[in-house]
Amino acid sequence: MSLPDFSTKPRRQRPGAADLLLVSVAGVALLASAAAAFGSWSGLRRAQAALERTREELASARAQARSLEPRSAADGTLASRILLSRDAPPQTVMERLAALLPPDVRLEDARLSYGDRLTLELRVRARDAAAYDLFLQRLSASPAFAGIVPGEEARGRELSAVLRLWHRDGDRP
Amino acid sequence: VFGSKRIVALDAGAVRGASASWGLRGLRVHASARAPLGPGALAPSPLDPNLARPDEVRDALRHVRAELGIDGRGTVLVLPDGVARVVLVRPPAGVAGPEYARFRVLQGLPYAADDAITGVLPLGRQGALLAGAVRRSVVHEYEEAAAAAGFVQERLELAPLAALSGLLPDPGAGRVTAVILGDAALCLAGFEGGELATFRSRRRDPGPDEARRLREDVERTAALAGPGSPPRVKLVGSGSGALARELTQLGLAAEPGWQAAANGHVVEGAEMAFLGAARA
Repeated sequence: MSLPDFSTKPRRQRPGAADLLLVSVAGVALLASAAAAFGSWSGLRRAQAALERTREELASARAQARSLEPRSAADGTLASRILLSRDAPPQTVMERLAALLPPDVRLEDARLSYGDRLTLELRVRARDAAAYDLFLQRLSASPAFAGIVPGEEARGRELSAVLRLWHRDGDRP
Repeated sequence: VFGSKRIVALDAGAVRGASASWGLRGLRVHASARAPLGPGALAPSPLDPNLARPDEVRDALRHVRAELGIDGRGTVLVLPDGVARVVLVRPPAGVAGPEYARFRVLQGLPYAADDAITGVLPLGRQGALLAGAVRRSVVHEYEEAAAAAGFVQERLELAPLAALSGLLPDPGAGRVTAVILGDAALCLAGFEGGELATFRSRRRDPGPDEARRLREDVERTAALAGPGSPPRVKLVGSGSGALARELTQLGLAAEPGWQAAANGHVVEGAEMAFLGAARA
């Protein structure tokens, strides 16, 4: 029950025990919330710091990987060249090619590129298309060569053509 | 003390004060003081200047403050019976109770309505209200005296309303008449089943036949509330203990309105009607 105040200048009512209790409970709740918020904020800062460290480590690892990648590719290519030139020297490759040439087909030019694999670009001249087709069949059937891509062909009195292929790894028969 | 109130009440015979609290174990009086006033120093009245000898009243207030050992801050000032008009109002359905009660209490005042300070005390579950009106200039007299004595007033309440706060009976209490005794005036409040049914005020006429006259007033108050058995009577205020004994001898079930638990000193709580303010 609240008694009326008959003061000529009423003052703000002094808080009662229940009001003080409620304010105290609210204060405790506020402090607990603030502590929880501070804890969460600290946790967030820690998580952000850990994330930043992880990002830096990832960036560093990527940079290191990038710096290592070309070298390993170059190293790989170099190793491959060394191995290929040992296993498939030009003389051997040319001998294998010559063994596949039909009598009416002659090899006018051959470029050998030693990289990850041994790539060949051949310029051939055949008496007729049938002879050129026979050469292609022999190449396709040969275990020493693969990836045969016939290129430009010029058909006149004779047939002139360019084709690309690559030599299989290892010492093939 | 947590939850205790410092209350100072002025009346024709004395200035009284107490530091009291009203908790689950009832009324507890932590300190109390009384400073008597000479006849005529303070005359409760709704119109005329009340403090005929302001210096004497201020000295009494200072004495009470010193005896209570308080700095005077946060004090509830209680004005005596006889300074205010207090009426029981039952607002009709559909109207705002407090506004209607203020409107009713201002009707017929012997001074301009603008000069009045009004207040409303809700009582019970049936919408009954006690509305009070007191003249601003009268309140100002008391406030000035208290401030001059070092009191910093927190609130100002009327003795009948403050006392009723501590006298409200339980709904199952049946028929009860509360008698609030001031030095110069008294109020009678008739309760039926815990609800305030009647409220009356009159000037007090102390003398050898006061108990008999009071008994008749109690019976009339109860009759106004309707036919029924004689009421139980609860008395608070100056002389309540003696009057309760006399009314009992006259055949009424009379008792002090409340008992006070005092901390280490003897105190008759019911003699201090203003202690009801500690319950509000």
